[in-house]
Amino acid sequence: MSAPEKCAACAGGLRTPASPAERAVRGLNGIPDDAKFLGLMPVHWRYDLTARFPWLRKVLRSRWSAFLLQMLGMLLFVPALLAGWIGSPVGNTNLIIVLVWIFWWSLLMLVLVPFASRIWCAMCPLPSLGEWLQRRSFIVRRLTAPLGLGKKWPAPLRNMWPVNIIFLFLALFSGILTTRPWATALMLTAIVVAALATSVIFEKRTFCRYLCPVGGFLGLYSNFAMMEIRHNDYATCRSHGTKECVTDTADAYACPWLEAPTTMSRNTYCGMCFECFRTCSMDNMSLRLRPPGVDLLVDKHRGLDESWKAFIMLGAAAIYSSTMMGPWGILKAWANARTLSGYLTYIAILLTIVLAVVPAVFGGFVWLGRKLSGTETPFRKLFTNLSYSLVPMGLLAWIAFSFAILLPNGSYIIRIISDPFGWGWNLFGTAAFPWTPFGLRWLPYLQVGALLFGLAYSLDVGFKVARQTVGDAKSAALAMAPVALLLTGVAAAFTWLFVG
Amino acid sequence: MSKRWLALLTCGLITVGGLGLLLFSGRASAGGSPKIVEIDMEARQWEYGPGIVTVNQGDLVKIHIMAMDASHGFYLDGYGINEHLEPGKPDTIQFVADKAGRWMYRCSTTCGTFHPYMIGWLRVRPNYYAGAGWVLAAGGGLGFTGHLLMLGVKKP
Repeated sequence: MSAPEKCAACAGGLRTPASPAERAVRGLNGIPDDAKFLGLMPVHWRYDLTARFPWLRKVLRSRWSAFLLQMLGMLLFVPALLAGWIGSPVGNTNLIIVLVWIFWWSLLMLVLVPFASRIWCAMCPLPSLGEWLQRRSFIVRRLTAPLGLGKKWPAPLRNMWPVNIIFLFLALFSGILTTRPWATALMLTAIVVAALATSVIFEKRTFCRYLCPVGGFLGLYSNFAMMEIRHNDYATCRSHGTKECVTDTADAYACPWLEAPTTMSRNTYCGMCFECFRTCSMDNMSLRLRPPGVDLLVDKHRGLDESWKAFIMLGAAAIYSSTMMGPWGILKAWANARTLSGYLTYIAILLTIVLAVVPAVFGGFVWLGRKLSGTETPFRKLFTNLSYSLVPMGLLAWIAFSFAILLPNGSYIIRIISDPFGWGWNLFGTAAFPWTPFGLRWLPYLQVGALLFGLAYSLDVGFKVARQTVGDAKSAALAMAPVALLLTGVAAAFTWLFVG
Repeated sequence: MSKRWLALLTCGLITVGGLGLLLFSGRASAGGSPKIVEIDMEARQWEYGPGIVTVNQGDLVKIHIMAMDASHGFYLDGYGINEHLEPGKPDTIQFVADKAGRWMYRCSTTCGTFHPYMIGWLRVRPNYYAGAGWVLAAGGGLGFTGHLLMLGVKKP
């Protein structure tokens, strides 16, 4: 392997603005140089962490860092799975429920996704077995051919539709999954088996990219994240013949996520495994900070599969908040499958709302905007592109929901580390720690603040996308106006649900 | 005055006007003398009946509560009140509703599978949190929509 070369662009931390060629690769068509989010944050601003902190680049280039992250995930996962199968059947005394639905979920939605994109995928233990088996190695690159058939995922399914269906299937059991240790254990075991089977049949991380039920919303919402992995200098990539990040070589693995890091413009399918850092002989990858939501403006790879993901997540946020945080016993009884008819009613309501009502209402407002503006932009294109304006609102609604999960229930974590199976152990002397809600006095402020921020960002992203899609500012304004009204209504409805 | 400033002014007026109205209506609704509000409540897997209780700020609230089927609890967010309820044994929880807003009361004794979701709502009027949320959302959202409409119809 040739010695890494330093590129000129690596010298400084601040990267603003990008060159025209790089901007073309980024896909931020129609976004002016001086564009700002909320009138404050320059869209094109980047802060290169790996240039600013050279030790970070060294850490990320090490194969050990990937292995240790996966082992950390495994260290949490194995006891949790064991607890799910053999521990106490009572949810809040079992590690698997507390770890997965309180600790992991809150960490994911409140910290990891908004700030660090899909960094969770780098430490997720579920596909690790499959990947180690494929590579016949835990850490080093072995010269043997990968184990398994290495087939390519069928082209018609290379989108978010399979993930949407799998996520929805699991969502039907959300009431049961989040309260019964055995159910969560069954789900996680099934995912591990599915990931293993997929890795035997298909190449690399096909499972993570096209089948993981969590991957869909992580992918969509990571477009809002404040961190990205991108090539450092596009000219270097363009002139580099080998491109180890795209094709496996004897020394290095190509991107396990089947992305092309040389031209990657969105976080959607970047699993933050940092393999591109290790594989690039030009040392041309960087980890950067950026304003939230940049990828929502990328005018490439948009599709109805992702639009529906946005609808599903927004609708699910409303339904889960009503069921889990609401005062309506009937909804809880339905979700808890007390009676078959009640459970079927719950399923029918959930599917109707997320698959039909939310898209139909959104479509109606887009149609109105199209009529109002008189634009000749096809309805489907306008509908698809504007649906990305729902991402900030959806993510912030989930953040508001997650605050209401973490603050009242977070103290279970202290107790559970001493007694993970609910068997009466007291490993660290905290088994008797009482249920202690904290910060609930501030919950309404946090929730209202999150929703208002989500609304403001959605309006801003929506108008930028409308201008990008329709062209002239006048038509874009009229096309966006009804959607802005709808977003305001959505924020008002969530405000009622959380604090009204 | 440019359209942009006009839009900002409209947005600001909606917000300030809304907040003023909110404050005024809040004062008016809470202005009466505090009352004693007595509520009969049942706790059963996994709901409270009634699930929504509405009082005014300053009211003395007496909740006569009984667990109907198993041991339950009653924890009131924001107030820190916590009571354990034995099945069939009536209990009274008494407090002055001095914190305005909507607060959840939730079961604090593990009572079965859906225990974490056994929740009710106490609304202490005036609910400034929700009001401010709505006013700011309306001010921002409607103001922005108005701005878009003005931008769309302005002469070239």
